Amino acid sequence: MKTVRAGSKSNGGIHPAYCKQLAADKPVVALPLPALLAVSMAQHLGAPASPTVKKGDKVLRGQLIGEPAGFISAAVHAPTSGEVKAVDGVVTASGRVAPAVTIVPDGEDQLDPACRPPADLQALDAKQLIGMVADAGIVGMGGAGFPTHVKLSPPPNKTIDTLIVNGAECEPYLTADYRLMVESADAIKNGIEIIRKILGARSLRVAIEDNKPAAIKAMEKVMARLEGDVELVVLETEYPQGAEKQQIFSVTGREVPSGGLPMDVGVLVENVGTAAAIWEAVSNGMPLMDRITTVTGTSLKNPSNLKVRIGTPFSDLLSHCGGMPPDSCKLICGGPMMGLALGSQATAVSKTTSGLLLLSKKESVAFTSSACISCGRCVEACPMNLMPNELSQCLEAEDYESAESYDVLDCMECGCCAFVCPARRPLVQHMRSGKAEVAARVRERREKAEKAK
Amino acid sequence: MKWLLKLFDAMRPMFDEKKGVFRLFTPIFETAENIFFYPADRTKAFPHVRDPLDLKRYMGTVIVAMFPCVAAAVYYFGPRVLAMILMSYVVGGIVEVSFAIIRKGEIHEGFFVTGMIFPLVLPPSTPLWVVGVGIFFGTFFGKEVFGGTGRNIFNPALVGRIFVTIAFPTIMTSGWDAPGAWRGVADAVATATPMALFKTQHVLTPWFDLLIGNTAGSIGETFHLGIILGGIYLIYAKVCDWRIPAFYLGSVVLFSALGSSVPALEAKVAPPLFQLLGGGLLFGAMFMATDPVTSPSTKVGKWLFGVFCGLLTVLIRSFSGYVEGVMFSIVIMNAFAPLIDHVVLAVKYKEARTG
Repeated sequence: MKTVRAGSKSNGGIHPAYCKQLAADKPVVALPLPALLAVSMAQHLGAPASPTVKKGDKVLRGQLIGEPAGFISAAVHAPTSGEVKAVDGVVTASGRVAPAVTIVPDGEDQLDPACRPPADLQALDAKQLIGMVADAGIVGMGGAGFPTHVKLSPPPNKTIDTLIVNGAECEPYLTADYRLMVESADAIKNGIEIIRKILGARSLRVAIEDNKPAAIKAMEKVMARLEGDVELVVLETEYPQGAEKQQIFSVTGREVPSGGLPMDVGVLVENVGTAAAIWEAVSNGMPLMDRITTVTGTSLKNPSNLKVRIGTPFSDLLSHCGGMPPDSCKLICGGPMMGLALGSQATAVSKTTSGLLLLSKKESVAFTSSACISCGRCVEACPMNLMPNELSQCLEAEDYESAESYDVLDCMECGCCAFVCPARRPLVQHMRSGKAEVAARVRERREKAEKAK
Repeated sequence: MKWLLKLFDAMRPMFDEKKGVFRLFTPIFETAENIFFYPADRTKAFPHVRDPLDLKRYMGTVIVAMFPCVAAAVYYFGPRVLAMILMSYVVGGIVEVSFAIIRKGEIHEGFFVTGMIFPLVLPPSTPLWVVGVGIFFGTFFGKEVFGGTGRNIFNPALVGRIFVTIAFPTIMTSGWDAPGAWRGVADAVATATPMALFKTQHVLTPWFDLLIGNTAGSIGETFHLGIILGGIYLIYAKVCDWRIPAFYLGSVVLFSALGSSVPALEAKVAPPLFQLLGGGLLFGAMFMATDPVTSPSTKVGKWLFGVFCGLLTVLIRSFSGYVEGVMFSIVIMNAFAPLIDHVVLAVKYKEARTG
């Protein structure tokens, strides 16, 4: 094992105020059991899980309450024991309504006897391990929530030679991954070894930004014992170093083609939180029922890193951290760059909730937007080498043809362009609507072409 | 500032866009509020944090960068300079505000830069009414008819400058105040600009006088040291891209060095250092060619723009009837900026498709 500095860095990127010092040194504490848990069936990319319990059922901690409904979907489990109060539609952080199982905890926190460690950990083969990951309902915990078992089963014609474990945590304010690396480096390392065994990947890279020396030290210590082509890659601190394609380029120098996937260049990226969850699932038989979430904000009395059960309402997290100060303006699920402003404190923690951020009126940005002055700052900032200024003007004019030819579909909505835009144009929102429209056109064209065959 | 905030809050209902008594003047209210505070509404969608450099600060930085030029202008040409700037702001402001009211839109920050640049590119003795006519024409036909800041094709200050040059040729070329003449410290009241001295008498003004602005010329263009400092500040603050001034100045140096090294052209083409410091080149390259709205936004486009501006400047200065070529070359290239961007993008995306 050796520690190296990243050899390359993709173009663009920005340096927002990181504000991580608010919660960086707060050890993870477990949030007490809430009075009510609303466990959504749509915590991952793909089809929402279908509930397997109904109103009035008694559930145990770790019991399956939603089974995957389709190839890209994930299982959902009860985070504590109690009674199912309702199975109905609940608003998620993204604003859509998805089925959810509401549980009133009985306070016993009784574990489902099915959740137990395997008889012989070493004897398990890749297929069995993937099965365990799928049964545990593990999804990418960095934010996107792609079902992990699907990602770990690449098609046979693709070989993965490099596994990258993402500990960059480039979103400002958030420190959940950082605390996990500092406090539970062993669990991450063990999880990494499971993933390596599943993939048979020759090389392992753990990527951490250089503003997290304590995490680098902790990971160095546990990784020292790992064998083979193993490197800890220290990345320059810059947003978005944690984005998949940018990180792959920084770490390996390989460029994922436009419209392609990391496996097209033989790489697979997993978040450190996902690795730890995999270890928990494989070694203890524990499904994904809780996660570390950073609750932070400069106006917040007591910013913290909390271990919270999936389904805990955000209001519980806030009151644990000292409540909402009177000058609060915005409550954001996630970080300030890609997080979603919430409509209600009743929204619940999901598998992908990496943080809860409170912004005061002074900190949040004024709503003004004027004509593009073509200053080109967005072009300099775009990590995907797009032209956000041209694109947004095409999209405003509903010229989807030009937008498509300017690669609007490559946009990953990181928000760098809107961050630097002096005219405060809603560039990301233009891109999102444009991507949806262009994707629909591409689909239509493909269907037409297929019909013609 | 609390009392001011309260005052704005109290006045807000009167200026409500739909129901307010003074709804006609909503844009003025909003601009007044924006000067002191930010609008009351907050963005709802991500990213929730933004770079502090918004348009207000962007334009403010440009104006701050021009302060050395303004201060030097007052020193060399007298307090009359301030009256010209005031005139420009008042007339330009009336045009801008009228359009904001008609359009029911906001007052654009870009006007604060145009209103400052325009008087700085005029001769010090320009009558105030000419300043008013020029800024009116520049703002009205150079900007507002296209749809305001961000939509204009030509630099509005230059449109105004070219209009007064052509409309009032005798006034604009007759007298150039000698620096310090207003205090009675100059030998003569009027003199010729360094570029004119070269063109007519083939006299090269000493470079030190050029650097500290001790020459005749347009109000803001003579103090080259201040322009260099302001330009460095703009590039350092990342408000203007380094490519346009670098390629513009570089290409002037290259083409004038080539031209002046040919014996047959020696009398027509001034040497590189004199080209750089002799006229409005530095001011134009730093503050006008870099206008983001009217210059290309692609990186390759920016250096192409700079190179062609430089070539045109040397050609016009050396071979045309005009003494100075900066404003014409920038305005000509303004017209080509969208085309340059279009070609650069077409090449870039065609390469990506086929290769």
